[in-house]
Amino acid sequence: MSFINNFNILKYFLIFKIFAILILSISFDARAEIMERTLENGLHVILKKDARAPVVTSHIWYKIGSADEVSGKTGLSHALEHMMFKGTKNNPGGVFSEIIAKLGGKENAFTSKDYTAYYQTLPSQHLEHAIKLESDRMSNLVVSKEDFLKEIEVIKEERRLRTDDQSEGIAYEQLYASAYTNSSYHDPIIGWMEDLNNMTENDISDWYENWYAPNNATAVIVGDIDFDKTMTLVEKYYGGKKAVKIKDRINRSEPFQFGEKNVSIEIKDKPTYLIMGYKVPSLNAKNVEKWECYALSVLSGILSSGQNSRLQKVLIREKKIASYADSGYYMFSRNNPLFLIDVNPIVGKKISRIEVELDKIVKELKTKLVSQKELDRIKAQVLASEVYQRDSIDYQARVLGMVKTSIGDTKIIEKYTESIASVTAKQVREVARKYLVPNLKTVVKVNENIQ
Amino acid sequence: MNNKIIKITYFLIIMTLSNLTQANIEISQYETKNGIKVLYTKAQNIPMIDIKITFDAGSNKDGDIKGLSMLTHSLLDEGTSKMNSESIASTFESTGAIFNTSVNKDKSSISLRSLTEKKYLDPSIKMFLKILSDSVFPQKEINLQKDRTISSIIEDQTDPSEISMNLFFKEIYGNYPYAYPSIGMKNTLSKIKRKDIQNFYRNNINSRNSKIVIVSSLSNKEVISLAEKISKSLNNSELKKDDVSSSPKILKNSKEKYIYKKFNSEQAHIYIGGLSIKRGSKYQLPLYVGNYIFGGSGFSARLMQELRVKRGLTYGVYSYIYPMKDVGPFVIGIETKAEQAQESVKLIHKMIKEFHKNGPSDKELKHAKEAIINGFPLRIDSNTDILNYLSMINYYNLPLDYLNTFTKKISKITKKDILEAFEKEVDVKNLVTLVVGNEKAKK
Repeated sequence: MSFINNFNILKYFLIFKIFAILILSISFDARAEIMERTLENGLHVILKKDARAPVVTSHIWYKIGSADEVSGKTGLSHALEHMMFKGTKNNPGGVFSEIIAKLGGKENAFTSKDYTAYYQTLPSQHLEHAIKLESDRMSNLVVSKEDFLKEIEVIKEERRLRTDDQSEGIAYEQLYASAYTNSSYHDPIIGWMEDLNNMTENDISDWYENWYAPNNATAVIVGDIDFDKTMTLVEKYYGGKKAVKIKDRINRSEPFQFGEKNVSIEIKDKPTYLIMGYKVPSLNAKNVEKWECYALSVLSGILSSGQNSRLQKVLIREKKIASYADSGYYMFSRNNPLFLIDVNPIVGKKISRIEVELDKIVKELKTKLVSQKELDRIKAQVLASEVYQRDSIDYQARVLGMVKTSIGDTKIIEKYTESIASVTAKQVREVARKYLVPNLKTVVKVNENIQ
Repeated sequence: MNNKIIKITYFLIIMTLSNLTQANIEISQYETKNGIKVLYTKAQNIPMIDIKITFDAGSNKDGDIKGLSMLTHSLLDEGTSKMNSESIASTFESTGAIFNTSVNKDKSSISLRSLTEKKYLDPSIKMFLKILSDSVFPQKEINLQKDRTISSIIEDQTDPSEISMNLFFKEIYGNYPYAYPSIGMKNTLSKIKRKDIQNFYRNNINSRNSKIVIVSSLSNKEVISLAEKISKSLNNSELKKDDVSSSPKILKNSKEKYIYKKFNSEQAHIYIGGLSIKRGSKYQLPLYVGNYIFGGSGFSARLMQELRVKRGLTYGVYSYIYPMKDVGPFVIGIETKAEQAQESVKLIHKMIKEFHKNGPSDKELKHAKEAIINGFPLRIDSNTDILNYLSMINYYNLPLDYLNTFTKKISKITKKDILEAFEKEVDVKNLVTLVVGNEKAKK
């Protein structure tokens, strides 16, 4: 129950590197069996068969995340996600988790800027239990003051662990807060500590009433299933739920940025670090041709995928000034995201030297065409990861849930590899020229003046 | 030819309590001409292959040069006699193959994931074999990798979770190799010479201390031919004997210890624990089930219920008992804001002593056994999982029906077994407690 992953406490640091994983590996086999249907009450259902093992993963995705929150009330979506584990009238306290565990299942939940999702993975003959329990908490959650007062302290500990005591966490949060003036991507998913201090159980209840409804959700079930039987189960437990009127989402459009933003922060006893972001379009952007998004994705691969990528080659191997360098772009976001670059300098090397080299790398992308060899490398990797990711039913369900919730149409998944393959060197140069520019750029530097 | 081919096919059937579900994995066993044990299984549905070779070459083989094993492994794909780092990386990248190495305190592994279509598989396998037989460790790459590693070690020293973990292991293991992080230390790394790395490669990346596991869509014949190629690529020279006489011994703690280290962070990082068992101990499964109930099963566990759900003290608290080749640790870990550190320590001490004395309730034990047994299909539901299970069976010489008997053995464990195992192997009278955090976390 977290904003990336919960039980995996030992791996919490992954949150800041996770964008790297998403770039190249987000498509899958077009031939696979998928069934999609929308129930009368608006619940969208996606089923996918993968019978390699007698296991199934059952997800529910709500289109509600920190992007829907307003100033002073940040962190509500994530806090509600925590409270969803506190029980309903029918299944009080931890009964839900207890049943899933007894059946040999595992469960978790995660919140992003764009969505909140819950899942159970369990032996396939027990799927009905998961659907029954999940459908129950779509409408019968009990939010008590007593539970809330304890859980909000847990959330504050989560914030301390992942953000306040992590210099990269602080830098990441400051980057979004600095880059976006009005867009709700300005605020952190977990919420500002000040807002967590002011939050009440009533805020949570209101948020739940407003957004948790069949017509704001997608059920994704992947595994060893029979389509007809599974659809019957979904209808049995969700079919009776009433659609509610979903509030208009607040449109917090991002105004023009007047120039490059440079933020220098000091965090005591922590190493130097640089993270930067350019405002770029998502697949939802209006007045932008879709190929731009695929070209940006290839551009990110050219910068950071593999040892021969430009960031690694220049910063790590040639100039020997960085121990780690990465870039990331995620086209499946609801609003326009940041194209991220982050670098850990070798201890003792100055951030200013990193910046000089980054400028040169960006300039070259705008003036010279990338080589065919580089393009082929990206395409081979996309093709391979399309095959590899079929090894995880959970990953397959996540891609379907994310794309449906944020973009609305899962067909683009089938065309992903093809769309990446059709990107040309000229298109890569064009998006570099259009988007890697000062008035879309924000840089956050940690301890740049400290040796 | 002294072809010693043993081929046993074993059908593994896992049945859940309701008998509706079966997970079948057909494990095949083969021994290469030069004696490497190979376990493999066919996974037809995805056109890919996973190869994992494990070696008795973890950081416990570092000797005085802490970090040597990990540095050597990280440099394996940085140069052969005919190819430089860049062209090796290009070969893998242009086929979409993923080459990987990993090192822990007992063992190391080298692995490859590739598509099985010939035009991708052939070049990636060829490169993989070349790395096994002909890594040359160019000085330039050694220097680069050393600098990067030293830089991350310095960065780790600003991270309270790294600091506390390293301190804790140093405290419970003294001078034994398990006391040191596999990545090494600043002063030892800076001293590593090319010669040390070459020697480590020759002595340890060796067919005589290796095991191979393959999960793929290839035919048996193709897998066997591949295993032979791998075994021929590995150095086959006589292993150097470990000098046992001079190596340090593990000493169990004989009194309760409390250590506080000041660090400027909002949360205190706390470790409580000590030494427990070796792999293969008769207490391994009772301890597994006992720990599962106490702190090893996320939300169902006592620790999580008491400290997070009932009191809101932390985001995460857990315990584990990790059997290793030599005596592994028993560890309880938690992060909480500094002001709550001492309250948490007291509570955990009370809870572990209570569990040690009274064990789990009947309900808890029943629940845990059901969860572990019913959850079995989830542990082997992907090629990745199967690969890791086969690798464990092969490396530790477990019987091929290990996965099958595991659930049977779990179902027989009683409260008495757990109480006995904790009595013998978890010393709650002499716990080490470490608190890293700001002044407010201090006693």
